[in-house]
Amino acid sequence: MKSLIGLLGLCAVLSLNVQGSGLRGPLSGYVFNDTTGQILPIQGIPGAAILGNPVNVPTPFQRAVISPLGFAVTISTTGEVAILSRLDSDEPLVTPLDTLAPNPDILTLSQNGSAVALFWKALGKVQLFSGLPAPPSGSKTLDVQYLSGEVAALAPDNSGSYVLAASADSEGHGGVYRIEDQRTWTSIVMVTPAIQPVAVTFVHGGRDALALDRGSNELIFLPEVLGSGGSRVIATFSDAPDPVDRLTASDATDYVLVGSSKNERLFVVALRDEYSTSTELLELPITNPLLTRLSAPHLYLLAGPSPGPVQILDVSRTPQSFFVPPAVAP
Amino acid sequence: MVSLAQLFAIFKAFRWIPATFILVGVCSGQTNLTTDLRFQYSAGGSATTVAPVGTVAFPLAAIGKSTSVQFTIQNISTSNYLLQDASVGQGAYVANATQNTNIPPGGSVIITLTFSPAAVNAGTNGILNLSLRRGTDPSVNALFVLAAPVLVYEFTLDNTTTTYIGGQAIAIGSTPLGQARTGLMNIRNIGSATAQLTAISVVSVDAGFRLPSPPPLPQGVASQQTLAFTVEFVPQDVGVATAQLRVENELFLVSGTGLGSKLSLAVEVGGISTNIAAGATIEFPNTIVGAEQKATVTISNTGNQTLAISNIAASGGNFFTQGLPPLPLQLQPGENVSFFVRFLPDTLGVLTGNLLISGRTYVLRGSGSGVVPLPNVLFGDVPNQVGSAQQPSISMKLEQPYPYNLQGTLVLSFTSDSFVDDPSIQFSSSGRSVTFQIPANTTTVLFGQATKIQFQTGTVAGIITFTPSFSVQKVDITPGSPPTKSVTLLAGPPQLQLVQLGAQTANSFELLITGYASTRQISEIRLEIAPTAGTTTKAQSLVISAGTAFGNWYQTSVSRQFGSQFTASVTLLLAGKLTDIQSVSTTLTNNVGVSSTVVTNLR
Repeated sequence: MKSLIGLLGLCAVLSLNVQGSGLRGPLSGYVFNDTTGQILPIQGIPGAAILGNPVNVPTPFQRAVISPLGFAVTISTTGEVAILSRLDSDEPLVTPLDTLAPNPDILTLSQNGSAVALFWKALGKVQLFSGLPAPPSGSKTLDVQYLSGEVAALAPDNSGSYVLAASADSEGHGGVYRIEDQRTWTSIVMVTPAIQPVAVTFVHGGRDALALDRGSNELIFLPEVLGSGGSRVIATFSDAPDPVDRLTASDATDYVLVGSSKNERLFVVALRDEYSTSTELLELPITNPLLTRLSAPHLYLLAGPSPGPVQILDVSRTPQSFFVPPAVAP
Repeated sequence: MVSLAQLFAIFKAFRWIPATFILVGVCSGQTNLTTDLRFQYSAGGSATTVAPVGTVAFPLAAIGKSTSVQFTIQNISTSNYLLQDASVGQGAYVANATQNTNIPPGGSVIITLTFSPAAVNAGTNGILNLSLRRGTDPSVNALFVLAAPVLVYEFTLDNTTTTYIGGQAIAIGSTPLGQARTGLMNIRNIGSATAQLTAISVVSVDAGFRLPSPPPLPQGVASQQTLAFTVEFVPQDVGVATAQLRVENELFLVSGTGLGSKLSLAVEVGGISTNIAAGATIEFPNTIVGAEQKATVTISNTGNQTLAISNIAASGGNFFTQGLPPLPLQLQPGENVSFFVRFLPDTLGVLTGNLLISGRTYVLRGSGSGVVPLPNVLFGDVPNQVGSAQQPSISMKLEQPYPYNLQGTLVLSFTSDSFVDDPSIQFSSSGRSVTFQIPANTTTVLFGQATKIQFQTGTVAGIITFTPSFSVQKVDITPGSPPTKSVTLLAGPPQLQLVQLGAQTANSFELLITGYASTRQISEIRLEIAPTAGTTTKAQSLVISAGTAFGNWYQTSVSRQFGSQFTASVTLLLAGKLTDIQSVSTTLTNNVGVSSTVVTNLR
């Protein structure tokens, strides 16, 4: 997109030059329809958005995660992993990734969407790609087969240097681990113990992290995950009718969203600082909220586009959900 | 004429009079019977003259029934004759008492001879013995042979033969519908005279009896001979069927039983019960569209076999079954089962359908006779004015309950102030129309299960109009001037949704300004640059004349997909360092006003 260009100096505006249109339609993000295998844009702002035509690709995908940077990491129906960029063009670019194996069990993006972690349970390995959407020159492989328990969630850091892994065994012994490639070996450091951690995410630009313990219904703050570590419970959801198992956060806001796949309750945790939080309960129009981050930093996908309509959550102001109807010719 | 030898044989058989007496009677020299007397007999028709030792032929007789002839002795001489006696001996023949009856010249006497065969094996031959005397002459006897055809009826069924006499009932047994059952009727002449048959027929009251190969008539059946023909029964209906089999004047009541189930249908609607024949029409009373008439249909098995019912269905779109028994169903003889057929006219006029019961079809017919007018419609929830990019709700209700289920469609239309539509103006259910229902006897419009429905207001100034239409079944009952609700989205100053920092270099940065302008017009972008504290940089204002750029944007077809929304990219080239800038405050201006300010921190 050409831009409206303003030229200014430190002391005075030297000139102003407006070139071309510099204008386009707003895009709230993309959503993946796991029924049709298509990726669709959400055109417009919340409250005035519609679902656009699918991204032009020849074959549907088995799975896809959408980066806030406007590209997708896709898994084809035959299991190959690729980067799909230029989503808004007529000819999106497909860049295959040289993965350890097809069909990873976990496919998760970093907070800013520039790194992706792939996990194969059978291999006991995590593969990290960074610098996306540019074609990666290489990857890091982390050996997690000796990690106690079963990996429930991963959170790669934005640089793709390490991952946080939430893991627990069947007896309620688990924790959040920092897993790092040490060239010839993989270091696994427990950041905090937990009963049944099911989600983990970075906050504050990757400095700190949050983990959700389904076993204790607690939100655990993990400061300085690369430093001295430590942990502190900053919210407890003991009143929740079902265990909480969904967690998302954004650097663009102070909100941390915690939900359950079993009901329509969403806990909006305002993270004022690492010692001061407040929790607000929001009744959503749907159950099992996805809480997937969209392109716009304050928008999350709650539901859709299949089987129900797309519902998004806008936390730029007071958290509010909006429906997004499909495009229909007026 | 019977020969003398035959007559002798008859006499011997009867052991009645000595043979010598016969000779005396016939050969008297004093009296000449053949010239003095004339003998005639009649069975009701013309008289037949017979000479002594001749045969008097009786009409066709039957066991247990009498026939008679009038035997006349006419004196055609000039002498007196005395009929001393007229006898027929012991047997089936009887002569009335005529002893010592004078027959003057020219006079006559009538003897009634009656033949009453009492049993099949009884004799059928007889002798009429007249003892006559002319004046004082010795008596002479005149003998006549009495002969009669006697028919007996032997009916063979399933290799069993039964003998019948006229008037008896013949049971041919039972057979399934449509399947033939036959019996052989054998007519045997056990009499002494030939029987002349002129009429053999079967008159079937219930249809089903016939003579597949009737014998050619007239036909004589000689004494001791037989005539056979087949009687066939093919039942057309279940139950007992009868017919009359006629042989000459003899009538036999022939009966048979058709085996099968029989479905009988009775319908009760509006308090009136009617028996319905197969293929007949079940009439429903005139019914208001939306209302319902319910008929009770009773299936009875009036046959004598089990009635199997595999399916019951109503077709035609306006007729529905209800309360059906579990199918398939076995209905024993005499049993019945009931269910309902509902008539719900979906439009005006005559409506027809079919009721199908295991291959049998009955016509269903009724009329949609009118509609109840729609009460006033009230709109709720939605204000008269709405803001851009909102998702308010609208609800509707009737002022009065409607007695029947209503369906409808709420249509949203948009009149843009800028002559450009906004595709984001839609219902939450997608599109610009949504269906609804109002259950009978209620007032609230239901969109699915919800009492209201959300819609997007879009970002273009104009008027959103909601127009509902209502129908009861297929009949549109929307008033000529339908109720509407208009919602105005007022023109306003630009709105900033988000100002983000885009691409950055050492001496430039990009601002991505996302917002909308309901007038689809923006004249300028104002940027207030706040320096980083501690630097020598001064605060600066930058006003970008953006009217042409936005004017061009709003002319494009792409922009119309977004209403008045936009994301503007503004790149600022710096003479100094990017770190010297703390924040940028952005405002937009259009012909209505100025937007609020959004501050974007670069630090």
